[in-house]
Amino acid sequence: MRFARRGSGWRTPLMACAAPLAALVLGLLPLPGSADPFPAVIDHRYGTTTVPAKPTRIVSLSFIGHDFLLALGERPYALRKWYGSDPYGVWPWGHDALGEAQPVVMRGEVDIERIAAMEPDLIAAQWSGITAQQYALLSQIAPTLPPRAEDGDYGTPWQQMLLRLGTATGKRTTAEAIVTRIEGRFAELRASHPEWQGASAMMAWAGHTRAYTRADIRGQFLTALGFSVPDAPGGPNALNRFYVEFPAEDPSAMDVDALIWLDTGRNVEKLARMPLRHTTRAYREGREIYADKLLSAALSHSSPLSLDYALDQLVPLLEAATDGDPATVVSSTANAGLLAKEGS
Amino acid sequence: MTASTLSLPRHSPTGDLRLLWLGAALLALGLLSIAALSLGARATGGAEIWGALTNYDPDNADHIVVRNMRLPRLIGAGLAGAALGMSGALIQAMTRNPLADPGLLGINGGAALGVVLCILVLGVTDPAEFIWVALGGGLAASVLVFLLGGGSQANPLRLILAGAAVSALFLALTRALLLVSRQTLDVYRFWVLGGFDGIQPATLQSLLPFLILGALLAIIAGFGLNALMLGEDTAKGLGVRTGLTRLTAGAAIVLLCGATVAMAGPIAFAGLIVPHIARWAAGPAIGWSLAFSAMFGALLLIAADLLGRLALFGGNMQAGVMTALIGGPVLIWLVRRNGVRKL
Repeated sequence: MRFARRGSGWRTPLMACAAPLAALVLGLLPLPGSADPFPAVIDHRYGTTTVPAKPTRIVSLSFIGHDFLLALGERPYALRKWYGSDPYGVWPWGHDALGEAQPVVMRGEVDIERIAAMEPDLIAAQWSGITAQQYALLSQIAPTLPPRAEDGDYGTPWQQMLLRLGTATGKRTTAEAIVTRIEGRFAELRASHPEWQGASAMMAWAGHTRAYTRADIRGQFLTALGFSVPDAPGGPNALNRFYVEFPAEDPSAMDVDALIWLDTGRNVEKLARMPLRHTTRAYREGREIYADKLLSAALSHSSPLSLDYALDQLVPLLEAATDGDPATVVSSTANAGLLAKEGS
Repeated sequence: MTASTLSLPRHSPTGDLRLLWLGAALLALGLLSIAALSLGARATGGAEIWGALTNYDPDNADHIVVRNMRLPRLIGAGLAGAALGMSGALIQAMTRNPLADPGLLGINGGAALGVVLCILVLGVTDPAEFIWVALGGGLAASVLVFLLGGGSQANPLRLILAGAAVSALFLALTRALLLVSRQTLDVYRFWVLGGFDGIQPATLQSLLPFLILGALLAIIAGFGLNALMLGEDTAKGLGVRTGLTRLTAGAAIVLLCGATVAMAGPIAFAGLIVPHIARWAAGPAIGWSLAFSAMFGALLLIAADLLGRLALFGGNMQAGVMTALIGGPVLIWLVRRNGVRKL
């Protein structure tokens, strides 16, 4: 709670005003159960964080967290760009929510001095990989929100990402409503696709035999549709919970009912000449799905904004891949020129 | 260092002993090659290997593994090891420094900068597309080192200083660029470890001319270097054109090492230790030292690649990591037993 003590001179009266003011504003909103959201207390892997009042200057260190803040209607003051060509680090599904805002874009390592100069009042750091040492420094600047211990650096489920940010920004109810809506969409898809329930599926990086596990958000996405994500032979890799490397010489464990190749759009050639791909059932039966740059990014963000886009795009492809008829063409795979050739 | 030529080596292998070594190394190379073709995540028997080599069936998974995955790796590792061994022997003879490494000429640093720029600017993520930038970067950096080091008049010390300075500069630039882009880092960190994972037959083919030319130049330079190791003045007295010899040796190192970096990324340790093992077996004469370095280098890298493939289940320890793990203990054992052979 060092940040609460740090208000030197002018800041303490300001905070004293801010809390009742926030309470007043929130009191006017017709939100059930939002009577007294602050101070918000959130447990996490490095301890407990208390957000004393509604934050207005949020610095997002999470590679995907800005999508979640935007979904809640919070425009971050600064964000950490992951990848992509957008100057503000936001992919197309987030453009409407970002509007005219021009957040400060940070890249590369966490620059604590620069963050201190921004004078944030909330540092959102789930899915950021910050260490205990970085947390100790950051939490002296502002309330800082790392992930829960059980989720690890990059395994926080999207529901947790959103609900915890909702609590920290006083928008818990909004967050719960979004979670209910998207989980409802997954439930509907599960109900309307009995063939997916228990079928095996995997997301792998194009041209490699490196696949995401159930612990990763991409594995969680498949599980939410009812698929089972198989383990690597020999069990989960102790070195990395989020992806496993299958032997390139024997990728039979990757030969699942629906194999989704994620790509930045530049590995098509590598995928096409991948040595054993042509011997797999997924290839011969047309069970492979090539996810282009945008769809791969949407799946890799798995945010309330990108999940809708990902489902819109992926569901028809999954239906074509899993209908049991090798003749059904998976359009994205066909467009990339990766379909099995006639007679082979 | 000049005084070292006056002290006799503690043992000078005779012709017979050399031939014995040569035979043993060739035998080991053959056995190791068979092991490299048959061991892996998928057990492959002799019949399948033979079939894959003589009667290739593109739908047979075992054939694909042997012909398209293990064979290119084996050839790539063998060629890279031979090239690194030879260039290591050359640079150690040329600078008369037992700790000299081909990477010292800036080849690794230049290749790394080229690769990072290529990923960052062109967005290339497929290592098969790196070869020409890696080769170009390595060549450019080594020319710079030669110019700074005094060109054909280069003295060993000045060359080493220029190499260290240029390498450090290029490494710093590379790191600065990597800080900007997390994605670049992901591709780069696999390249920089050095390895033969997923190497393309086409890549091997396009680099072969560089390797052959490099090996020829190395043999030519060998004649002059033998005299040069007696000292600058003695060599001149013997009628050796020292400047030309240095340029030829330098060109050979750059071609051999540059092609290797382009093929497999920087593999740091092999060029440093292999010549020591070779000199121990072959004596200081540069011709023998080159031949043995080529063979021991190939042995080391094929073994490193094979062990790296088997070390982690399903995973892949890069050959560049394994060379240090295998070569380190061998070098320590050699030094403790025999002392470092003088140059």
